[in-house]
Amino acid sequence: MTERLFRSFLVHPIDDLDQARRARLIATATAVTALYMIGATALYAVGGRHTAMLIALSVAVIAALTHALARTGRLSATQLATAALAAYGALALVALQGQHSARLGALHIVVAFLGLATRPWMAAVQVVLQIAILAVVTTAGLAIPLSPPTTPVWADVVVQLLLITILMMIFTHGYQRLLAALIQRTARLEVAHAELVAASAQLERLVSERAIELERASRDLEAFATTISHDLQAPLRHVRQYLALFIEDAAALGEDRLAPIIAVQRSAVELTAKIEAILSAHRRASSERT
Amino acid sequence: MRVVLSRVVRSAFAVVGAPDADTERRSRLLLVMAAAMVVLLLLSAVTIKLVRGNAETWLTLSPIGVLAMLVTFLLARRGRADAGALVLSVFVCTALAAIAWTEGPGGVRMSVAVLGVVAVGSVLNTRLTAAVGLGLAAIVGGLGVSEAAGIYHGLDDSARDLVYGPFIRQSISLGVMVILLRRSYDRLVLQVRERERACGEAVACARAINSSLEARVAERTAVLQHTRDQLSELAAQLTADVRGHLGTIRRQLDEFAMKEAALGPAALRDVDKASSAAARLSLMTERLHEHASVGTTALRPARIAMDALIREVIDEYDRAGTGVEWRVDALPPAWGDPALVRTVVENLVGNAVKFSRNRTPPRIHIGHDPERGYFVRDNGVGFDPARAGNLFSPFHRLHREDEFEGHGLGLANVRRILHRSGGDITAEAEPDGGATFFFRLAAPSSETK
Repeated sequence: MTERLFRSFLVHPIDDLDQARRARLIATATAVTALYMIGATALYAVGGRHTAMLIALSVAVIAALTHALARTGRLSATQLATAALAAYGALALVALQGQHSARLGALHIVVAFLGLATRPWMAAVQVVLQIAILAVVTTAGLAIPLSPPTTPVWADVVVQLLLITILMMIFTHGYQRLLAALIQRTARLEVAHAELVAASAQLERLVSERAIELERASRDLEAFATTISHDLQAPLRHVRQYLALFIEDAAALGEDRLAPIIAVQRSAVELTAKIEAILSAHRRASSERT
Repeated sequence: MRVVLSRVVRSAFAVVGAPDADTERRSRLLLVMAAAMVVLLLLSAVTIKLVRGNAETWLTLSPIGVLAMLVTFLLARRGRADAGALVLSVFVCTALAAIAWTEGPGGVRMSVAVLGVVAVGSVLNTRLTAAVGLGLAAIVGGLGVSEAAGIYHGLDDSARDLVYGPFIRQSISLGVMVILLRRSYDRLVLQVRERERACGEAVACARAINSSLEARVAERTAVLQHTRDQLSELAAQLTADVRGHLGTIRRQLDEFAMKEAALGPAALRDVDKASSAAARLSLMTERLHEHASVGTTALRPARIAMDALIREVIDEYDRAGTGVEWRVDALPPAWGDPALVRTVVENLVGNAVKFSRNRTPPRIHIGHDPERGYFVRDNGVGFDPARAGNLFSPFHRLHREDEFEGHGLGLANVRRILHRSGGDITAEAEPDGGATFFFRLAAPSSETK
């Protein structure tokens, strides 16, 4: 329900590249937290502050578990665990260090981390939760801090500043890298596209070239067929005409002696018919083709 | 189709291609931040008296802050995100240094420093964020050490304030800031992804178009090849059939002439004429076969030194003693199938020699025109330009055969060769004024180089 309420303007699904980056960020931050809290636990143990030691240890354990979850790559479970860690951490911090405003600056880092690395609505909930914790603690007048810190407040502020700087640097750097990667990918696509368009133009030119060639070839073929039907027939006609003249003039020789000429005459006629047959077969074939 | 395609591409790449997609969004983010800071500063200035007795620092800082944020706002409006971020950073550092100086580096208000770094970080400039964060740590640390050493003592008025009061105000501002930052980041990434998707679609679309074009090229090439095959098939069929018959006819006529030699040449004149007509036809079918085969053999293009080629062809005619006055200009090299280009040159030069042999002296000029390509010009009989349309058709003749021998296939062959090589041929002439044939070969294409 809460998520649905915030999703409209807060949560957008992002690609895997970004998800992986977030899981890594959470893993690193929780590892650092766990190590820091183990150190704090040891210090409290040496100082004999058992309640404080137990609180620090519990934070360390939750941080270690969240880290383990982040390593498995299950991002949504990790995000929820991180939010739980942040909520419990706020409670622990107030209990241990009291309500001094500047010392609570560590909680600002937690809010920023939740907003940037997990889901934005978790940051909003964390803010509300922190204010609620402070309100309850102040009105109830609990006996806190359980462990008043020995370091001066300004040292805390310096540590907070360093931590938030590192967090913001990681975030801005990750953002730039992700953006660069995406733009590079798009640029590669753009180049591929430009090449394809160029190839397209070349192909289109090829198509029209082929069309022109085809037209020429067809015209050639037609011209060829019509001219040869005329040009090949002409010499054949001459052969027939000359032989006819000869037969007329030399009729006195008699049919026997003229037989070879008559045979030639006949085969010239046959040849004429044959050429005509080939050409008309060709014409039929080309009219079927078109 | 190409127009539509390029429009799709342009719209897809317009934002991503611009290097400022990122700057633009950062500027907008800065704009929101600056506006929010102004509201925050004004609110603090108004409400500060209610919770704090000593409010000089804030009351001094607020007007400066409002001014700085207005400058930032204006810079962001003009898209200068980094310059705006610099102004913001300078103000954040100044304000925090002033708070640390007056209230002490361990004052209740100091956790606002974290807020300042997040505000600068929201401009998404890593170096600037690092500079501000480390600079502030150095200032606060320096003041803290000075305080510890007793050199300096800040004003400690934390008792007048609710201990966690500033924290709550900061916490709420921070929550809003972080959510804005994250939202802007997510949007930008989505926007880039969207462009990437559009890009991918455009690429896929172009690929599909190309493959359909390739299919069309292949189809047309196949049809073209088929047409060429038909021509050679037709020629082959005609040649094969006619050759056999003609052989028989000529043999029978020769035998008859031999057997009846007693009749005398005058009586056999018609038989002779029939025999020579058959011989002519026989020659024609051979030429026909050659002509058809031009279209079917594969081209083997190479660089051709035209000067040398022309020289060789001319030398043959000079040896034969044609008495032609040659004029040959310097010729650029050509690109084509050497054997076929040689056929072109031989045909054109041969024609020029043939049609100018009645002149005294015959003159032939071979040169190159940058616009129309190589040319062969003679001072021969020329032809009527009105009839030049059929000049290159097979068996088409503009002169009577008893004037100039030939079969009307030379120029048809030349044109077929040039067309196949991607070139062209044109002619200009006037009756009795000589003729000029211009021809061009294809420029070497990238595939054939």
